[in-house]
Amino acid sequence: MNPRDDTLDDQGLNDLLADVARRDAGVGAPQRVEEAVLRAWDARSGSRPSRSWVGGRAFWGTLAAAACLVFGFVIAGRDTMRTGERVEGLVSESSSVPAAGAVDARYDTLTWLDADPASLQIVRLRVESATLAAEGYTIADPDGDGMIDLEMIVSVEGVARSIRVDPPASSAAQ
Amino acid sequence: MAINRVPEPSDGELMERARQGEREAFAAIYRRHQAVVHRFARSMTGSPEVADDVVQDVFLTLMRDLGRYDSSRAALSTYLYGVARNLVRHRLRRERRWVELDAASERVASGDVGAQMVESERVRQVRAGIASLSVRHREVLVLCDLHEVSYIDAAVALKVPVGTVRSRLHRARQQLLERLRRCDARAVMPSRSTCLT
Repeated sequence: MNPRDDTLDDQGLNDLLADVARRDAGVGAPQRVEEAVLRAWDARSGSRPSRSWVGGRAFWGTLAAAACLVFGFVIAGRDTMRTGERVEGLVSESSSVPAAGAVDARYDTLTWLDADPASLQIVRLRVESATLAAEGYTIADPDGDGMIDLEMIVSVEGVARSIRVDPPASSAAQ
Repeated sequence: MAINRVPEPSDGELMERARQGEREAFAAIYRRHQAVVHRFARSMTGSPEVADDVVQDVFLTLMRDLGRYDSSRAALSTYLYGVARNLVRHRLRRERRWVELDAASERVASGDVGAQMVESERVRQVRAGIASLSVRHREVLVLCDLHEVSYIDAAVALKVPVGTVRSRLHRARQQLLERLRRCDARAVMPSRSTCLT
């Protein structure tokens, strides 16, 4: 066993999880959710239940629309590599440069940027889930292999702006 | 331990009354179980807003299926976990959210889970570690270790054999331990700014 493994044992993990559970205790849905549910009950009593969504609907709709728009801008020009191909195989391509911050042993770059982009671009990366967690991104590891395929929006200045999980269907197709 | 408790109607009694159209019975069911559903959804998604949506959808589903819920097959809480789990999985599949990179440190500092809580760095690491697990490992860890649901009830809620619950929980705890140990190791290396790598 690695010498550092004695820093935290199974009981220690139990204590930490109990601490998290204790902090979460007593926190529940806001009152407006109960009101919405009971409005649905009342509506159901009269006719069909009404389905009044709460929280963030407009935000997510806007975000989805924005994502689609950005994707539409870049989809025609992007150079998508097969999942699993190594960065080294692309380094010699003079017309491509890596996204800012993407050169790291913990990353595989699956797509490369145009050298002289005219708009936002989407770059595909494979990143360790633990690295994302350490940076504060709560993104699930879909297949449990410790790596997550991501799409990253990169501005024309080469600055990474946003990330999201690459669709599983896309990965599977490759 | 002897506790003086005011007799409360059981879930079964409340469900029966709700089936007969009693609004207050359904409201009582909601108030009894919403916090647990919310905690589960929030732990799974990392988002209080999504957890709000999931709570609403879970109880709308229950409202719709009042006549179909069978108390002999599972406790109401187990049934609600199962519904919440399906809705969470659906949301995670459907919403591949773009996450702004600039907002990450602020999000962690304020805490997606309980904005008012001042959390220790260690607790933040545990939450991040849980969030980094795969969905199938995370859901079993959240149910069994955070919510203290029995293996049998977790198996019913997740629709998997009890042995699968045990093995997934074992694997989830291994992964979480491993990631937290890396944090400990990196904590004495000042050149590294992050852990869990």
